Amino acid sequence: MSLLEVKNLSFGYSRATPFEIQALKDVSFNIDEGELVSVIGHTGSGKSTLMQMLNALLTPEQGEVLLEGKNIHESKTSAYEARFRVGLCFQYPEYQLFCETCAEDIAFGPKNMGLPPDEIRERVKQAARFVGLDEALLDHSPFDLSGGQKRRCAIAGVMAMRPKILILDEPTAGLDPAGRSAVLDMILHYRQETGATVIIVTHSMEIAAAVSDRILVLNQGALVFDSTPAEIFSHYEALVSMGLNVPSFTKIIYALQKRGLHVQNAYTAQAAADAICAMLHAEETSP
Amino acid sequence: MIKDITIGQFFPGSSPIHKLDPRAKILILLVYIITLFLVKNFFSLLLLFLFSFICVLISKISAKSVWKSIRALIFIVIFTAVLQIVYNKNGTVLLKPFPQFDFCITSGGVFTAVFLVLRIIALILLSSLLTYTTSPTMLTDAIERLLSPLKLFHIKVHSLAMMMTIALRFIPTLIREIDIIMSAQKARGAKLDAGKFGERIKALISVFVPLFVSSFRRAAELAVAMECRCYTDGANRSRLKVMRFALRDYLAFFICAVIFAGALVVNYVPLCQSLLFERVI
Repeated sequence: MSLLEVKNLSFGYSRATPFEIQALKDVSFNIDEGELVSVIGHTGSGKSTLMQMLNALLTPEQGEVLLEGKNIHESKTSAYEARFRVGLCFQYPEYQLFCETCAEDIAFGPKNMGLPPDEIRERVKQAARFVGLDEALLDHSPFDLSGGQKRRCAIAGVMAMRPKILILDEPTAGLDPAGRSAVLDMILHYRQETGATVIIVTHSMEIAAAVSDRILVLNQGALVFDSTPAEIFSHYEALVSMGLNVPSFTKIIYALQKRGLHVQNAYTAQAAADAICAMLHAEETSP
Repeated sequence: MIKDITIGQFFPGSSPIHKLDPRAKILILLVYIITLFLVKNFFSLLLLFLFSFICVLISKISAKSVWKSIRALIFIVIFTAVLQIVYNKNGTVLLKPFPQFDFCITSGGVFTAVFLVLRIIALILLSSLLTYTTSPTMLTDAIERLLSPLKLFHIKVHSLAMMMTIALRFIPTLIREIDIIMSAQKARGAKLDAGKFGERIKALISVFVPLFVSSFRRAAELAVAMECRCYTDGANRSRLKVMRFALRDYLAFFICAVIFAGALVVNYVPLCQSLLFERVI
């Protein structure tokens, strides 16, 4: 049994009006314990809708979401509990900070879970450590922090609930390259320490290629690909036709292949370098 | 839920009502409302009611949207009607359901109830037609023009109009923002849609603080953006669309003047009413 089973999800907005949108069409997939899965798709492909169903903020019109074998949409209580077990961190989470101090803000989730104060304090400290937020900053107002620190603080607020599955919607959006890699390192570090399952929704193919075990590709509400990065990025033309990009290294390899060179597919910097070296080596030895 | 708010909803169209100068529409609506509250007899009211009904027909706004605007105020309509029926003691007694109580339904009560209901609906019909057929920008533009005489008293009409435009423009943006913030706080277990009343109120703080913060941020950004495009307050700003009264506006003024005058004449000249009564009854 997988940790999370998604079966035939369908959902639409503004039903029975001229503005009707079919946001999800018959989406099914499984996610195993400890996996890091990326979800990619064009704007409006249904990614955010899908994520809000995984923690029961939205109820699907058809289909079900099974968390450890139990339907989370079964009752109001199960839906409420699902919010703590599947932690969803929205896009630009720093705009949702509201407490007087960072510590209080991080504690908001655990408090709603009804945990004892000692436990909450302990969790806040741990979450702050995961995101690399200095303990001295915990007593500051979140509005005094820099943009990157605010984002870390907000992500810590979700981590402090210790969810079985952590979903991050565009965690690196609007950050500079340094901030981006810091956030990514932080996610990987968190995963290593807790062994939690992580789902990342992203536009960036580089990020999806660099960190994920598996990638789900959504297009116009339908799940088109569910596979390893290597497999996904070999569908260069299909991805481009969906308005998606591929990692720049894949693009270079593809361009070389188009020119008739025999290069292996690759999607990370290291793999691309190896593939090109191997190709050059092969050309030298067999002229 | 929160997306159902339809303040100032505008349905683009090309009906004669859509094409009327917004200033003409506002002025006509104003006179219409005054007339509506001056008339005290059924014939005048019926005339005005028919007038608003025909206007709605001409505008080709769907019956559903018109019903929506009435439904929003249906409680007030029913409340007034019930109040009149229960408390009005004029006219002959029609029904006395409980002989032991001093409670009865009178002809005067029923008459006034029907009269008031018709009046309120007539009021809603034409007022909602104004926002349905006029884009918010046109509306504020028209208000600015109509209020421009106030400049004599050093009131900054242009600033007021600009504030109104910006406020209207940001309603959908803020609604979307509230939706996102609410979802995000719910994802952390905020009891916004369930739980006791007190808990819900507390949970609202987690929505309003970020909303205020982002509103101020937006306001600051907007101010900078406007200044970058050399926005100056009021004086000597020319406009892309200059409003001019056209023939159809004068025509509309004329038709409305005739109808409103007709309603008032019937109302204030006793002879008319008795004549009409004889004809009808």
